[in-house]
Formats: sequence, structure tokens, C-alpha cells
Amino acid sequence: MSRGRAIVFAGRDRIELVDISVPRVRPDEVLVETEITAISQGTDRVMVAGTYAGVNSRYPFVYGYSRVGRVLEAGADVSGVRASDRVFVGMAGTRLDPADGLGELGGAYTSHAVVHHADVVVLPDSVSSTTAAICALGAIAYQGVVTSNVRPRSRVLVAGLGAIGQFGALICRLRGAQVWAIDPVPERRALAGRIAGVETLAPDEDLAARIEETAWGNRPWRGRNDEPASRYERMRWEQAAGVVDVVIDATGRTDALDAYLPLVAREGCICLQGYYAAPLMLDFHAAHMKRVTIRCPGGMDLVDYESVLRLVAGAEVAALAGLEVLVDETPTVMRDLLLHPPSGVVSAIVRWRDA
Amino acid sequence: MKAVVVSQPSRVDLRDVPMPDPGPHQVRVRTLAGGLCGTDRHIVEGTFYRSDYPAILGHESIGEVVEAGDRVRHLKPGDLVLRTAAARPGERIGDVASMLGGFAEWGLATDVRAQEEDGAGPIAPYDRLQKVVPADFDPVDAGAFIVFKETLSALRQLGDVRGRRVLVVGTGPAGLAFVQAARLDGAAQVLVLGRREARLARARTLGADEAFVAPADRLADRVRELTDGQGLDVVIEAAGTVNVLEALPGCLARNGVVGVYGVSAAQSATFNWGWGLAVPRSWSLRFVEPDEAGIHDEALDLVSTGRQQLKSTLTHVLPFAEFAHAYDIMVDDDAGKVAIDFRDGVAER
Repeated sequence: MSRGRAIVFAGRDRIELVDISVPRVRPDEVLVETEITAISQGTDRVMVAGTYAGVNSRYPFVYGYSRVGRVLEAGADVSGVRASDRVFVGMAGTRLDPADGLGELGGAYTSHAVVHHADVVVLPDSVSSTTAAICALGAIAYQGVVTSNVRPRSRVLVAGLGAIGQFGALICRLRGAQVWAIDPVPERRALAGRIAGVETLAPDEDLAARIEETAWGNRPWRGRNDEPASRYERMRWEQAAGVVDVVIDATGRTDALDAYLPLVAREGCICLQGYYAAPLMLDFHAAHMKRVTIRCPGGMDLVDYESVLRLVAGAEVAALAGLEVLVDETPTVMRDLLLHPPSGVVSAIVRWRDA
Repeated sequence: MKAVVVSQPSRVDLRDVPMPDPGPHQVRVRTLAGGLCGTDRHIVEGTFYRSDYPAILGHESIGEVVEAGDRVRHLKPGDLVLRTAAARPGERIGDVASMLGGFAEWGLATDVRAQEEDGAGPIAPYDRLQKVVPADFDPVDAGAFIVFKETLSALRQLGDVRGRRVLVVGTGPAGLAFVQAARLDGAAQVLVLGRREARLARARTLGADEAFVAPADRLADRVRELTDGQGLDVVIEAAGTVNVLEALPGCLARNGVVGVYGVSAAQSATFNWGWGLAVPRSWSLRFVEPDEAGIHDEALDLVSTGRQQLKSTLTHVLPFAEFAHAYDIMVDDDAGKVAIDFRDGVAER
């Protein structure tokens, strides 16, 4: 058994760098030496701050769900992955040595991964390691976009331009949707304009009016294109009116449903991509009148990951990693990044070793 | 003519209102029967989405065509038509509004096809629901048939239930119809959450594998027990109880869906859907819109071939003159479908 290192979320506001054992590879596993791990700023923050529901009883644990590294060793039964392949390791995590006494919630913040071979994706040379790591966040956004019924010509509002929102906006645009993105921070809006190539608005603008002004093509709900047949129908249509088909909320604000329901047209969707620390309010009658769907995506799947990698190949998504943290600095620099995030940085990477 | 008029919230009267006159694409019908529905209760109690009083109640009526307008070609005297109304929603007859206008001795229906052929203005959505049923259709089954069409089409909006695990919340006529619809469409397991034993027993008779009572905070555990730890693929809320919505996502398997069909009295609510380590992710909450007109022919076929028994949920039939009593029975927790018979001389069953 060899030795490795782990970035451990040791308790509230505490990040530690500790030595751990790396378990011996089983026949169906591969051993991966980590090059970089992506920091999922929003989730990492609530994990470290202790505000993620249920997390306080889990310290100390190894978090992280997005790493890129080189395969050092493949078990005897492994096919499709070979030593020296550069791979992405997803949410399936890593097998830790129980003797180290660490919990595992993803486990990507370790210098080595011992994982089932089906949980890795062999990366093409054309994809940089930073892009490959950051695309885990893209996979999360992708699942939200796909399952929220975003189609070509859909009108989509993306609220909150952290990494998930940035990817959500980009993926919606690449799928042929017309996208508006909102965030109070000008640097984040500028990033979305540059990377995702979408229109951005400050949240305090009159969103409905600005979207109507700049929208093209079909209105969100086709019923509105005809004359109402009766006073009752006119009233129903007015209640069902909205300027977009889909809202993707990546802010985590607990009034997201009430805030965005008026913007969604009948039969539209609100996708809850955030982490919601308190109960969400819902205007039940309005939701019923609009026949709305509330969609809660489920994290990251490797199939989504592979789709995203292809989809965003032409975009500069590596630039979403605004900061590179060297592993030895993590107890201070990563902690500061998470607890006192600089306004323009939406995500970052931890570098374990040079490529 | 007489009509059931909600004069103000919580006050229902049998009142004289003017006879409706058919337009060129409309027929006049003699109302034969109608079903009472939980939505009527919201309208009567003033907890519906909108209020417009005084108004004629009723939206599960059936009438027989007696007189046709000049341009009517696809309806004829003697036809039995569903969802007839003295006035459409949004319209008035005299000073009385329509809270869907079905419970009146006379009503109207529209020959939608002729109106479309003639290019004569937009079709009112409610008119599209005015479908013809065969001459041997028992009029007192109209309400159950309309509910069956709504529930079957609403269920299908939530995906294909073949081989899936389904929970129906609610044991009223709509809940029972969802149980039947889920069985017809091949669900592997159908569970029912209710409150009262008499109604739960009815759900079991109609094909529920388990019909049970559970407090919201125990519901997810109970569902795990009943589904071998798998959770549910589809949940349909048919009781109009907002509170249970908070607990339903926790009952789902990955990628499960909660469909909201029931009309709620509550205007808004807060939901703690419990983001965090303990929560199954990837689920949807969908407010469904039944496509009653689109499923009409198939539903009629299911009824005429005996695969759906409309009388299975009907527990009471009362004459029109006893509407107030019928309403009290419907509000009572143990009733199934309650129908009003507008023809003379029909006794309570």
C-alpha cells in the first residue's frame, strides 16, 4: 500500500491537508494519479461552512467530484482503460482506506483515485485537463438543461452566473435556444458574454420588458398568438403569460419559484439547479394556472459528461477556472476562496502535479 | 328554467335563470344528468382560482340535443353531448355568471367541427370538450366518464407507467379513477394514500395493491417499505392537499415525477424539499393539463368493452330538486361519485 495525500474538510470552516493510505487496486479497478481537481465553488462552500443539510455529522470527509489524472495501474479484469491513459473520474468517488478514518463524499480531493474502471472516461488529447475537470460542472448543468425541455427556439432565462449558470447558459445557446442570463456581479456577466456568448442583464432591470425587446421568433406559448375566444379565455391567457419557456435558477435563492414564475409562460419549466438552504415558496394557484413543471436535476452522470465534452469543444470553458490553487496552499488559499470568494471567480482548480 | 346558482361563497340556491338561446353553430340541450366534483366545492366555498358570483355551478353535465342552430351539421336532435352549459365560462346569462354552467335544466353545446369548417371565429376551449356519447350511455355516468378521461390523459402526461410503481394521493372519485387508469395502463404497483377507511377500501376493490394512511413525516419510510426500498416512479396528487407535496419528492426513485392534478384551496405554500445529503435528486413536480378531448374515443372504447366500469365509483344518484342534499353527501368524506339526475322520478340509490 502506497501513501498519498487528501484535502480534508475537517470541520466547519476547516480544511486540512493530510497523508493517507492508497488502497491496493482490485481486479476491476484502476489507480489514477490526480493532476487536477475542479473546485465546485458553490457546493464546496456550503460543505465547508457546514450549511449543507446533514453535513455537520459527516466531518471529517473528503469531498470533490471532478478530477483529471493519469492511470498508473489497471486491474487484471479491466478493459478499455490502460496505464498512462489520461482520464476523468466522476462522482463515483474513490475507495479510501478505512484505517484513515475519513468519510468520502465524492472523494476527488485526493492525490490518487482507486475507482471502478467504469467510473472513468478516457480523455482525447484535444481536451485540456482544465477543460476536462471543469466540464464536470458542465455535466451538472447539462442534465438540468436537457431535462427541463430546452429545445431549439426555446427562450431561456438563466439566473445566477456561477459555474453552473455559465455552463447552463452556454449549453442552452448551443442547443439553439435564445438565452438571457442575469447576475448582480458585472464580472460574471462579462464572463457569460464572453464564454457562453449570451445576452446578459442585471437582475434589477425590468426583465420581462428587456426580454420582450430583444426576443425574436415564436412567443413561448402558442395560445397567445390567436385571439381569445371568450373573456374567460382572455383571462386564462393573461394568467398564463410569460416571456420565457424555461428558467434555470442557479442562485439557490429561496424565493426563486415565486420570483421566476411570472416570467415563465404556460407549460414552461423552472429548473432548480441551486442549493436551497431554506424552504421554497410557491404560489400554488399561479403554478397550477401555468401548468408549470418544477425540475430538480440530480447531479452528474458520466453520459452527460461525455456529451458536454463534445458539445462545448469550441468554447473557452477553461477560462471559467479563474484561479489555480497549488495543493500545498489549500488549507489557507482554498479556504479563503470558498469563504471569501473574489467576485469575478466562478470556479477554480486544485493542481496536484504538473501535467 | 331552474339552475343551481352559487349566489355568494357558501350559499347555493336553486334559482330561475333565463333559457339559453343557441347561436348558429350551437344546439340547445335538455340536461339529463351531471356529476358533482371536488372543484365544485372550491367554487361554492370561494377557494377556487377565480370567483364571479352569482354563477351557475356544474361542469360534468350531459344533455340531449333538442334544437339545432342554422349552421349545425354534425349534431342532431337526440344526440347525447357531454359538458353542456347554460353559459360558457366567462359568459353570462341574464345577470348570472358561469362557474361552468352545467347544472341548469337547459344548456348549450357547440358544433365545433361546423364552426371550424365555416371559419366562424375562434373555438372556445370548453366547447372542444363537448363530445358525443352513444345512445345507450347511461347519463348518470357522465361525471365518472369525464373524470376517467381527465385522469387517464393526465396520468399519461407523466410518462408511460407500464412496469412502474405508482402512488395515488387521494381517494375521491379522481383518486379512484387514477387507480383504475394506472392499472389499465399496466403499472407494476399501485399504492394509494388516503385518510378514511371506507374510501381506502374502495381503492383496494378497484385495484390498489396497498391503500394506507400515513402522516406526512412517515410517508417516505412507508413508501420505501412498500416498494422494497425502490421508491416510486410516478406520484399523482389528486386530493388537493398542498401539505403532502412537501413529502412526495422524498418518496421517489431517481428521475421520478410528481404530478399535481388536484385543485388546492391554499393560495401558496412553502416547501422544504430538503436539499442536502439525505435527499434523492433528479425529480420533477408537474402541474398536469388533461387532454380530455384527445382521449375521448379511446376512453369510450375502454368503457364500451367493459375494461372500465364507470359505475364502480358511483355511490349516489339524487334528483335535481335535492341538489343541496347531494352536495352535502359529496362533501362528506365517505362518498364516491355523486350524480344529479335531471329527469323526473328517479329515487336515491
